Amino acid sequence: MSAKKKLQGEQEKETKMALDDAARVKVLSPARLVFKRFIRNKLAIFGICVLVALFLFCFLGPVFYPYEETEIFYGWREQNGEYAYSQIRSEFVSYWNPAHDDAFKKELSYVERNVNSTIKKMNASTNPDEQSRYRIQSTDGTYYDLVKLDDQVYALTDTLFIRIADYTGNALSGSVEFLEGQTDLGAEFTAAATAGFKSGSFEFGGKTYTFVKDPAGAKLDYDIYCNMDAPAEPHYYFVSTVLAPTFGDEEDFFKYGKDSAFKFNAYIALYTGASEFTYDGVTYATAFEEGAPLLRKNGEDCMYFSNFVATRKGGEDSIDLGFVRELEKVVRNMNENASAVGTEVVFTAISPKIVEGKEARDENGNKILEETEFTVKREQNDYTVWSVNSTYLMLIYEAPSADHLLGTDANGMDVLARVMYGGRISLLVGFIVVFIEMFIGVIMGGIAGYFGGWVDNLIMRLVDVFYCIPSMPILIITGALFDAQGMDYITRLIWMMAILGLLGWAGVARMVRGQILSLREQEFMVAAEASGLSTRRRIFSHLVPNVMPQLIVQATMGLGSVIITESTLSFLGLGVKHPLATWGNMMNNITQKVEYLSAYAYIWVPIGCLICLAVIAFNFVGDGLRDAFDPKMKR
Amino acid sequence: MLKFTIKRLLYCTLILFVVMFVIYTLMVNLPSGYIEKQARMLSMQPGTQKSFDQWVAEMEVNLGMDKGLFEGYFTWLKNAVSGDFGDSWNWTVPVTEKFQDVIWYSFILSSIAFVLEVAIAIPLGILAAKKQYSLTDYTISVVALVGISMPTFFLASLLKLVFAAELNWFDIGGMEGRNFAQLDAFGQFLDISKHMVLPVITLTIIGIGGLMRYTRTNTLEVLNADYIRTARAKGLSEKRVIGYHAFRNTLIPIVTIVGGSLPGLFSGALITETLFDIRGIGFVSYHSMVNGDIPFTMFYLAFSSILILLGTLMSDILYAVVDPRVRLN
Repeated sequence: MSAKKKLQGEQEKETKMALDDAARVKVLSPARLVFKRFIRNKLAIFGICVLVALFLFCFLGPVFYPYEETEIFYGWREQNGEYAYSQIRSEFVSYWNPAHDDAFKKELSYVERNVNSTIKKMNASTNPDEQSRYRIQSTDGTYYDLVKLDDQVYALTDTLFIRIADYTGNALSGSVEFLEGQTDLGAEFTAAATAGFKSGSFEFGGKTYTFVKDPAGAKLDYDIYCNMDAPAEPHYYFVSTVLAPTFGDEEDFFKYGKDSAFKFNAYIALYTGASEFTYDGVTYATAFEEGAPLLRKNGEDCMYFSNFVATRKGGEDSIDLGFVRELEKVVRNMNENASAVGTEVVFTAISPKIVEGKEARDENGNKILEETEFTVKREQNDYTVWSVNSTYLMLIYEAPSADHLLGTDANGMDVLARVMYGGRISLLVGFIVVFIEMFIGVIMGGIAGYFGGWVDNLIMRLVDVFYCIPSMPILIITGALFDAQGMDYITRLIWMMAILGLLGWAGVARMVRGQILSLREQEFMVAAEASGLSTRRRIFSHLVPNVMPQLIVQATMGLGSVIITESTLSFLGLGVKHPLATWGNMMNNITQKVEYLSAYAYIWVPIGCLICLAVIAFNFVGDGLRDAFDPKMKR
Repeated sequence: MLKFTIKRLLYCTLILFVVMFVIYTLMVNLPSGYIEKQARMLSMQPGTQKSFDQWVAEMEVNLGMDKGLFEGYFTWLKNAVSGDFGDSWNWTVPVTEKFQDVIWYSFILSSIAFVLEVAIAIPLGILAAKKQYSLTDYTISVVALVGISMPTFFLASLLKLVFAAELNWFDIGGMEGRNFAQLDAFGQFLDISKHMVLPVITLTIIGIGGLMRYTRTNTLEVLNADYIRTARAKGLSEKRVIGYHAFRNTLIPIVTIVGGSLPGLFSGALITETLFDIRGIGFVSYHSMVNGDIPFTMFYLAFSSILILLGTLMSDILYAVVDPRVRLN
């Protein structure tokens, strides 16, 4: 204190004034006096500064801020998601020969449907012939043969067990009638047939012939079948296999991924020993690498076949061959170890880099490969592959960043923008409600105080009633009813303000009445009455202005409490509703969930502090105003 | 005194009559969420013979909501006076039974907070007045203002964040721990007490500010009174001036305020109880109100209105009791 005081003292000495100097007593107008007292109050000045800052922030901030109140943000984010799906196939799947039409496929559908069980029977058979070639009868009685091309590949072909003649008769005598296109084997054949009829088969000319009862014929009507030699180039109807191709080339995938004919050709070529085949004008070379079949195009591996199937999630993307091979090792290992469901194995593989949901390409249009970490998880019979990849997301609860200084909220909206707009609503609600309170309160209080008598009595009883109504429960009830009615957010905002105003005017009316009761007895009112002013003018131009100081103080304090009430209601979800933002409802969904409470404290703590700050500032200013208006209190 | 009390009681009854009528009008005229919700549910059940409208009509008859405004109000009033507030729709037990179940939790919660408030706020308020414009005074004033300005839900969330989520000292809400059923009687008492800590702190901090400011203002007024100057002039020690002469006079308005808030201890802490899931009257009423349970809500509103009126009455009477200068008439 000393330096400054000393300086002041010296200045005073220099400009010595006489006692009756006119400049000595500086007369200030009442307003300036109040102002002078007000700005001396540090807390009030602090309050004013905070309020100015808040108003600038809420009302001017959005003008300069690039984001809107309800703008939803989307973006690519790294997220641990399902990358691929894989399985070790055990079911045989059939691919039809393109030469056959749908009607024919329908006829043979019985055979095709039962191919899995047929293969099982075939492998279980003790007859070595049947293990490589198994005879099936179709529903119309025709025989076909299922041929084993490989352990994992089977094909349906014409049977070698061919009907050559009809046999009618018995063990003693019979007649053989050769079918059209079959050569007559002569009388010796008939004799051999008759001799062998009883045993069901006979030998003739080095071949075995078998009798089969003609299902459609008469009692002694039999067919003679013979096992013929396999033709040099057998005709195949379909191929059944547990193998599935993995396409290295995206183009091939889209072209042939669902093309059964291509797959038929590929399997036939691979397993009948053809070195290459042509499909759709492209020549593919067949090869086996460590027993695994693959196809080459222009000398490069382009497809590889395995009973291990891997597809990208959604199945719309090709999959990198290198990745599949790595994955296959891991999955086969897990399969052999009989890992429990839910087991997870982490491995790294070279796979295409994925940026914004698409495989990244370099300037030559080639895929960019990079080493990525994958996790394989065993489901029941499948294996899912997880990796961190970029997904297009609504940006929910983003951490604060340069784009969103306070992050984003549960709806992907910018928190800072909503804090600004929310402040607007909170402050506006405060002002409007306080205005309604003041408006009703001044009129009612003014009338009651000025007229007295039964008018006063009536109004004061009304004030008593409103004092007695518990306001928070009423607000909660109306809020719940607005919810039940599905009222839109603007209408309910208006209603809420009206109800808040209606519930709050009693205090103002009581204060105004009390002031006016004492004011109306003063001389200036006698003067006003003597000069014949109208009642309205006497109340509203002479009495009410004298109540103004108390009104301003009460209004300022009231603003704070209205902001608290509004934010509490909105916090409970019964006040201002989404999409409108207020400070209260922004805190609502975050603090309701335990796990969000601490995780997103950076969103709700600043908002709560803003509410406190606004209310404190209004209270400081109110206190400061009261002290300035009525210096007797501050002695 | 007796005459005054009786007169005031009669007047309060009249006010209560009007207030309850206003509230009843509000409750009956606004479409009830509860009946419509129930009727919608019933009309969607398989095998139901009645439409939504029929269900609404039937339920209105069953629940006594089909009467006109005046008839309905007087029926309610008649039953209420004889102590019958009907059956709660939301809790499916008689209103008074539910009330008796929960009221003591609220009362205990509010009482502890109230005792703490008084014990902290009055000494600090007097201290602040004694050392006006000192650092102590500013600190106490600012803390009091922060307490007043803090919305309950923010304070509650902050306490939950610090003491429940981060430090894990308390549960985030509720009244019993997970292993409550396995504890013996004393353990159960401790468990419930532990769950009451955060709500009590919340209520205390929220309530402390107003009382502290009030005490400070009143003490300042008393300290400027002539008899204090006389006491000082007599050469009494500062301790005796403050502790005896000032304190007794400061107490006059404080006792009226404190006495006036005694009935409020029963009204429950609506927001705090709801936020901390304490099954007191506030929590139960909140859920009744949100679910459109008219009988319970009417009861709660009548109950709180009575408590508000009783509070004013008590502070008026206490004012006369404490300060012999005041004559009631």
